[in-house]
Amino acid sequence: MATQHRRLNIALKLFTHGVLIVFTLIAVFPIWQVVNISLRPGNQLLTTSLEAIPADATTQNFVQLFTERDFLLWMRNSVLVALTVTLTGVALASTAGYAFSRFSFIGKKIGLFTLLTTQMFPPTMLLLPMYIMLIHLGLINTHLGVIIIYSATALPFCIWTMKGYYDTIPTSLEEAAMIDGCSPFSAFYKIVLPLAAPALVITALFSFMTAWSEYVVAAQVLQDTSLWTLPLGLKSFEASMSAEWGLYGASSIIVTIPVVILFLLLSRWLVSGLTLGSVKG
Amino acid sequence: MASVRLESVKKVYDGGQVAVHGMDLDIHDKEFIVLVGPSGCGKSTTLRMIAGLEEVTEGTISIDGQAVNDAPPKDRDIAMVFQNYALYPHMSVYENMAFGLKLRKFPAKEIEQRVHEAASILGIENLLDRKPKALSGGQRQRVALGRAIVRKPKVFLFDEPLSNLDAKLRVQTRTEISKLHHRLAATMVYVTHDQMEAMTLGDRIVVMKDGHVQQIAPPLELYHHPCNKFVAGFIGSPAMNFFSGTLQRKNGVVFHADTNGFQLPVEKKHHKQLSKHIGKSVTLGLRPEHIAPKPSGKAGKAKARVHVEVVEPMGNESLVYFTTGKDSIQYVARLNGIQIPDAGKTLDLAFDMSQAHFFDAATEKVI
Repeated sequence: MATQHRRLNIALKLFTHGVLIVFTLIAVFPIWQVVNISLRPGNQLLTTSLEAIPADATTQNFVQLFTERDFLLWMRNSVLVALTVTLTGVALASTAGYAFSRFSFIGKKIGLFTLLTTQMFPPTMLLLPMYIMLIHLGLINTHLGVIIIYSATALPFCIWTMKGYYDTIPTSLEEAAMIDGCSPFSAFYKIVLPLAAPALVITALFSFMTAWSEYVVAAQVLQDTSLWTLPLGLKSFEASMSAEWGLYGASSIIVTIPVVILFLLLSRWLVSGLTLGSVKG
Repeated sequence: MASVRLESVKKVYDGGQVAVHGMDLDIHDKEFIVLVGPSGCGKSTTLRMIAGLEEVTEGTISIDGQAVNDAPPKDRDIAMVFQNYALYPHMSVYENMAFGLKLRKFPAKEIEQRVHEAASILGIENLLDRKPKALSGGQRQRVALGRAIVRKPKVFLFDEPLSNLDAKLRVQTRTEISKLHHRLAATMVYVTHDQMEAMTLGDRIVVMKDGHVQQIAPPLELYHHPCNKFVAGFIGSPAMNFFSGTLQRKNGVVFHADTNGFQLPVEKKHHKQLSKHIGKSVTLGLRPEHIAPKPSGKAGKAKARVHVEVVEPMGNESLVYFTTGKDSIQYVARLNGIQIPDAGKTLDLAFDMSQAHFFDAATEKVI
């Protein structure tokens, strides 16, 4: 009886591990494939070989990317756009969220509801009206144009996140600070804002990711190649006649690195941010 | 230190709900005043208006003769201790205590000296480097007190500071606050719903109900001379017993209880004040300690046979809950700890009518 029970246990464990391994492989395969492609020499791009590291592996794609293409320019553009969107997102969401959390004013409920409603529209649906607005503002083919659209689409989620987090911070902390000598604004940035770090991290990451990896809006707004962001640059490797998969793979890896570093650096706050509100206090 | 004056102070919230109705109060310099009352009576709102955390709808609040209605909290030179401590979680105990002084641009040396002085008074010197989350409830409350002390403000405000502590710690911290008051000789305004805290701490107590001040008096005066039925019932634990009935003239004056018709002779000293209420409905108030078992063989006049419902022996005393008639109104007597009657049986009780309070049944004001 005991032996049978032990056998069943082992079988169950094997099955669990088997399933986990399969799913891990499914998750890792595309990454491995991209790395693999980026290392292939030009004559092996369409190979179906399953070698972990391709024969005659080379870094020529990476070298070519930095020396023969505008990759650094696109990266600079992407960093500029993404950081501006992040800063705008954090600055506006942290203050707007605070106002929604702490003050009562006419239109508060409608405002919150409207913000939520905007999240229900697919981004492509907003593309045309936003494009028309940018034409009127004269912002087509400018970074400011995409920055405004990215900020506008990221803000509602960020404001809700910040508001939700502020709701868990007792108002007595600001009151104590105001009695201690703070003005309402200094009570906000000296006491509340440091405590809202997890939500700020979520807001910052969300805004950054919105801008960093976005293609559709950028493709409509940014026509001049010197203004291109990384996703547009990557897409350009996929020409109509022949796709430069090696360069595509190499640039994909480099594009991913800043995001991975950012996630690793902020993971401490990220975990507590993702679980925020789940446990009171 | 300073005096605080409230003149016809009224607070109306946005929805039209009136939290405080025209309150007048003079808090003297170095006085410890306690605002007490049930939930929703307006005591915390009053304190928050003094602090500047709530706007005053009507009336004037002055600190040291200066109207402060429009002054922000930071310009009122007050310190407040909150119910939930309100310590800044991202700062150490030292930083929490030094925060207010830093904002007021005190020299670093003086900040250090003041923080250490306050910490030594409160016995928290060994905790200065810790964050609030590493402290127990009692320690946190002491840090909150320390944060108030270091500023040496004109007025200390306490908003139910002991509510989150366990019973033992509450008594301990209560005595510490009392000691602190004597040591600092400061003006203190303290809000609580616990009448025991009010009685033990206050120089004077303000009893509030539904936004109205019921009575302002020193603790013992409140206890012995309540101005109405509410104050009489609120101050004292267990609460005063109230018997409904009518006053009748019969061999002097007697109180005829509604419940089962038992009659209690009214003491001569009360006759004059009650003369206008003969034949009218009144409420008789008697504190639990003024009801005792009738001594055997002695024919006391003010007595009644009651039915014992529950007995709570405390050791030093026993609380005996009883009913007097067919209705289910429960009264309580505080007996000595030796004589413990049996629950479910009848008991003859004597009422010390010299300690009786009489209230008008309609207005509930003391007669």
